[in-house]
Amino acid sequence: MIFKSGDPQILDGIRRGDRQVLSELYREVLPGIKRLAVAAGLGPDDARDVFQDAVVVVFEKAEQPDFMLSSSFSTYFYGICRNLVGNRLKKKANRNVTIADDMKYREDDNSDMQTLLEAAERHRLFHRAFQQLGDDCRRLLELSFENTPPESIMATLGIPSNDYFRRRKYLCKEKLVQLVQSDPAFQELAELE
Amino acid sequence: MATEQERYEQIERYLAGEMPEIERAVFEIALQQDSALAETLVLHRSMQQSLGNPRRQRLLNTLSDVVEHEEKMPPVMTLEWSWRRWLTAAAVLAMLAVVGTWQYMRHKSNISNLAEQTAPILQPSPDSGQTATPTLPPARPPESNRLALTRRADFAPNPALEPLVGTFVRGGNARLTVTQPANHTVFHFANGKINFELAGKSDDTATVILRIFNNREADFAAGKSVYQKEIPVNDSVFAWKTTLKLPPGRYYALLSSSGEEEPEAVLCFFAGKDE
Repeated sequence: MIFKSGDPQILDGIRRGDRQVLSELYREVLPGIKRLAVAAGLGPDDARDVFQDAVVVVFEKAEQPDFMLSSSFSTYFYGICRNLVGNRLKKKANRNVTIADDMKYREDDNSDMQTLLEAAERHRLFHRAFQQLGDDCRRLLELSFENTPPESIMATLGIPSNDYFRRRKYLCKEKLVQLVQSDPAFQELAELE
Repeated sequence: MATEQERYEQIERYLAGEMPEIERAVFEIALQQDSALAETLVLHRSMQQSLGNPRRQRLLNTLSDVVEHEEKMPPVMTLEWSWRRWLTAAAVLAMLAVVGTWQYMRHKSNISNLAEQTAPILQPSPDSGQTATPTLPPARPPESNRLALTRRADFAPNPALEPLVGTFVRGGNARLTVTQPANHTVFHFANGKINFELAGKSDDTATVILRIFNNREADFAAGKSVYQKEIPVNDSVFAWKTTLKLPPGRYYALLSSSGEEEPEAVLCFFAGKDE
């Protein structure tokens, strides 16, 4: 069981994107997340999304230099999941939902948790849209988003001219924007903000 | 008027901080006056921040793969083991060891007795000097309650499920209870089948999933049930009757709410005469 391996090992595995750690974590926690989701009137797909978003939140928190777990990893993780379930309820019901106090994850007053929760959902939305692009567009935009100089991108991808590169980049980005805007999750996120 | 491509490139230069001062001032005025432009800027900035982090992207790629892969795998029962369960499991194993040893000693003793009784008894003729001729005693029939080795194995407990028998819902939030059959019921065969009747109560769920496993740990680990049925719940009550063609042996009925992988109730029953 992954929780027996120790909290630092799990955090380290998430930081590194270790597939085995993520697989074991998935098997361990998904039944509990499904129970949370079903109890809130959501479905198994929501549970899987909550799992992914929660891992991303942990990843972002673990990147912060002053991050320290103030509880066990499982308590921390399930607390994040409860908050994510609450967020999804708000979107699906399109109304304000008050999460019961015992359901909320309690952290310090200056916590950035809510910001990270919303950001995690955006990351998954953009990632999903990005994966739907063709290989060439994905590679071009990947290099571009990583601030690779245009000359390097052109050399790497064998693009012959600057005008052609600019045109390709615009078309790929336009396609990405369309994919994002046509995703139902985009509208739900927009309504919350 | 700028084309869409020129607008995208303007946004990119603004976000990269590569816009000259005058152009930036003009652009910021345009942002205040044009809400569509402002929304486009917000979206492009978000995409840049999100997709421009290669480590996060790699994590998201791995997460997608993991979820897709795990969803294709057969469900594995993951069970939370409290100290009570460990204690129960240890007690069951100890009891099995004692019973197993007793059965083995009894079996050995029976073989010795049989060996003694089949030994020829020398009974010399009283009024002759001839050599006694051996006389075999009459053969004893085998013990009526001795199980063949294969049949004994069919009734042995499943090490993974036996400790859970009779337990209901982890965490103490009992949402599912079973009123029939009682634990360790013996179902006798009628025309080679058993009449299996299930009844109970369940809150907050529209269906209850019944899965029946044999006593083989490997089959359970592989998720190979001998019977599976989704049973509707009406007014918090469920009831189900069916005939099952099962070989004689020990079986486990696992019940869970729909959408749950973990069982909320585990019962043990037997098919065939209990010897």
